[in-house]
Amino acid sequence: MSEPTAPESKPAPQSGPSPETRPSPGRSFLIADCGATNTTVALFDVVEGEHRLIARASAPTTTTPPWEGIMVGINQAIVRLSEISGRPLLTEDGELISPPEPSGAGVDIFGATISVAPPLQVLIAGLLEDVSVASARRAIQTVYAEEVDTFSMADDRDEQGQVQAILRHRPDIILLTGGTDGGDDSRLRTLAETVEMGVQLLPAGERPHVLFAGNRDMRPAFVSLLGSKTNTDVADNVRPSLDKEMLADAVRIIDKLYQELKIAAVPGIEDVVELSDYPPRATARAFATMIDYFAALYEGRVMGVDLGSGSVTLAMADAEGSKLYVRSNRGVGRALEQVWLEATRVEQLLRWLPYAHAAESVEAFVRDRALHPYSVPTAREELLIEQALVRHILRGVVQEAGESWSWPEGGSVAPPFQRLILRGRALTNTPRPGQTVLMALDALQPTGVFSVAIDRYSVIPALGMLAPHEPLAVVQILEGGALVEMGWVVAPSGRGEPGQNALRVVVESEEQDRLEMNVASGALEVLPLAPGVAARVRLEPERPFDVGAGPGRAREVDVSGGAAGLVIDARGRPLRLPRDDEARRDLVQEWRWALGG
Amino acid sequence: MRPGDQVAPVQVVARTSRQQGYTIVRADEILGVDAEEVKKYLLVEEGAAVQREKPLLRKSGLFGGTKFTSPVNGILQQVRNGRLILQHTPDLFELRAMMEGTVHSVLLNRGVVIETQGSLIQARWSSGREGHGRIDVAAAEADEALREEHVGMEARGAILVAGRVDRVDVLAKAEENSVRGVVVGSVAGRLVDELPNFRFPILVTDGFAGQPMAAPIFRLLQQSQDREASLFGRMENGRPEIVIPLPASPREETPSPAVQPVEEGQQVRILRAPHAGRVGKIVAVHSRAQTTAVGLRLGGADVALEDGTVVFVPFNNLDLLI
Repeated sequence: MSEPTAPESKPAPQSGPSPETRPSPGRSFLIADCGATNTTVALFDVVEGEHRLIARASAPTTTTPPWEGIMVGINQAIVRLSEISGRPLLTEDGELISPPEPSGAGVDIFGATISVAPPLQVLIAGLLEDVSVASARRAIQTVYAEEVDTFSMADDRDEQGQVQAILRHRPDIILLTGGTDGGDDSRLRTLAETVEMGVQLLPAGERPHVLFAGNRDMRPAFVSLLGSKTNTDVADNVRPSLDKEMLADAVRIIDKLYQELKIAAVPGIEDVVELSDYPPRATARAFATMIDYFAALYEGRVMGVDLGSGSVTLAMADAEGSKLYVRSNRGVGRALEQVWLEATRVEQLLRWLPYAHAAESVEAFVRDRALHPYSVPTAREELLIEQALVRHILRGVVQEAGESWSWPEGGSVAPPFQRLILRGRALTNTPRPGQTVLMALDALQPTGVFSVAIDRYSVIPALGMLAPHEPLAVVQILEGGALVEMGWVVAPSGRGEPGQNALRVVVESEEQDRLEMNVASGALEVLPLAPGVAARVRLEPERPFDVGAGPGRAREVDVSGGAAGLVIDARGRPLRLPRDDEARRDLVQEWRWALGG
Repeated sequence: MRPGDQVAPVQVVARTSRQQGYTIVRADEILGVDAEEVKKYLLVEEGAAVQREKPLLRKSGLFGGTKFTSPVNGILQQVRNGRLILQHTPDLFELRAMMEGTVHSVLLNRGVVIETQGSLIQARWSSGREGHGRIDVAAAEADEALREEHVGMEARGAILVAGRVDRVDVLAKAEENSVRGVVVGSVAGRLVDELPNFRFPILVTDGFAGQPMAAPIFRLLQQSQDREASLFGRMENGRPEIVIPLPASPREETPSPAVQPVEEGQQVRILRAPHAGRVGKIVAVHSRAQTTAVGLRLGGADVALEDGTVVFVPFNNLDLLI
């Protein structure tokens, strides 16, 4: 089966960070990212001939009462940005100054990315659960969406049950799919008739949009059946044949529908649209654009993780294409209550804590935390629980994505990547950089040799919005240090006997003394390598450990230091935590200490 | 209703019929005929009322033919593709004002906007539902739990106020005695999933970690003892609210909402440990980020607590009390 591809445009290969790519007269950009909890505005301008991040500021997102207007929060963040940067951006009446004045006040370009809109409510109506329904599911996973119900041949409801489901859920869209192109369409026709019956029983104006992405031979019948009843769209069949998946066209239309039905309904969005030079974009898609961009830039596979307040986004891109998995109703803000409700075993969360905690006190914390999504931990115990939540939520979403993307071992083992980009305050704003890296390693359980960078300044969505329009500016902003480098990770695959040596690591650099270390199987170690220090690392694994050159085969890689140093994770995959409570807590604490506490 | 009309909490301001569902009858299969022939055997016209167990279809035959009676009361809404679509008799829904006030405007096909003067308390969480009743501050202190003796017969019709709830049986007794609502500072997290089952709204002002009710909220509710109040527990688009209308109070212009900047002298509530739930006044706003006890560098303010202690609190963990 071919890989599903998202319809994101990739930056041109020549847009890499070469010295020749200097901008024409630079324009300034003010980009807002309106999240479920916070709105961040970032100002970019030309400094000494290069585009740079000038400043950023945040304010609460204001789409709920008493404000009910997204511009209130954007303006508040802009006011703070003006205070920080010393650059007037608003008139006395609160209007954005654009184009800029000769005094330097104002900006050239304004844009916004949005993740505060509620998820698209989607009902999937397909035939085979593992074929058309699975492909439809992968298509809707590329936007903020919630699958409210699924009709398939495995569904034991009769026609009336399915009609009642449409009436009860009142989805935003029904994604109708099934059948291979040119195949028998009788079952799909029956399904379409059921959908039509449910749709036409709803009052006009409240009927869902129906997107057809099934057997192309049935398109005329679909249009004739539903075209006069509600808004419809026709996309390429997501499974034109059993062994071929084709999502791009359906994904394009679903993204368009998300824009039309959800982003356009955000309170006050019309003011944002009027002000914007580019149409508002979903934050997840802007994030995915940047992961595509990095993949082109580094000529390798790049993984991106964005842990938000109300959603989690995973993006992966390489030369073959890109994948995007957006999980709504997951996150470290209001979504926490949902996370708790769906946590079948509280032990799954408690296992990440280095101390004994009563399940009841953890539950109280989680529910309390959901009430204050913007708050930050100021007590050690709360920090530990919050970081346990990050691991629990991310691990769950990674496993879902892995299953959807057909990763090996039932979706639990991610394919090796060269660079990992992390985003989201709870994940990246930690007291020590090692805590960020450790949370990512515990949740993703990656293998291979890769660098880690974090979006501490929360600018990736802004860059994703700019990338298609201003690729050179984006390269310069990244060169200017918009991301914070955490360092490199070596995570061999394979699992050895306890006490066995996993690999020998030799670090040579012109800027520091030679380092050499034997890393035991099951160990987690850090070698100091200061930010920006270039080094050549020789990795000599013992069998069965593999660092990308085959079991037991040595490899050399060029790396550079970062805030967390060079991390060697020989704990094996998947991670095995001891069953004994005390032993497990000791081990979790040991890992914390290994990465700096 | 018209703009300017005075309304009382129990007054009906709008009525509508509420759809109760559909039943689909596969008439073609029952009769053993083609879909297009079904209409020939109908005993009721499309759009006409149908009654449960009254004949709906009849087809004559050599051995007595086929008869089919309606499974529901309602309307034969459509005949299509050989199926009969029976719409169940709709339910009458009455929308009540739920608070004392004046109709400000009418929203066509949706409801009315009611204006009132008084106090508004935003809660943190609610079990859902709406209610109104007389405020009865049952607890003597802001950290006192709602107990069995608070929910006796004398609590009938009251909105009970207490520091916290940690027993479901107390709420069950309150329901038996027709309590109209409960407002507490905190609820034990383990009880949360059970609270939506109660017929009255339960509003939580502070959280789930055993916090007392914030002192200014408790004081305001104490001052409102025996006043009528309305509880609005919907949470989909913002916080639940407690509205306490004041009779004949001078009309005050409501300031336009804005994101409030943090300033010295403001009264604030601290949201996170180690001072969660405590109330104080801002005595200094830091222009530069400070290092917190866990090592995060964050902007914030110094807050003087009621006992005189001054603590640094990140802006994110402050709730302004206006």
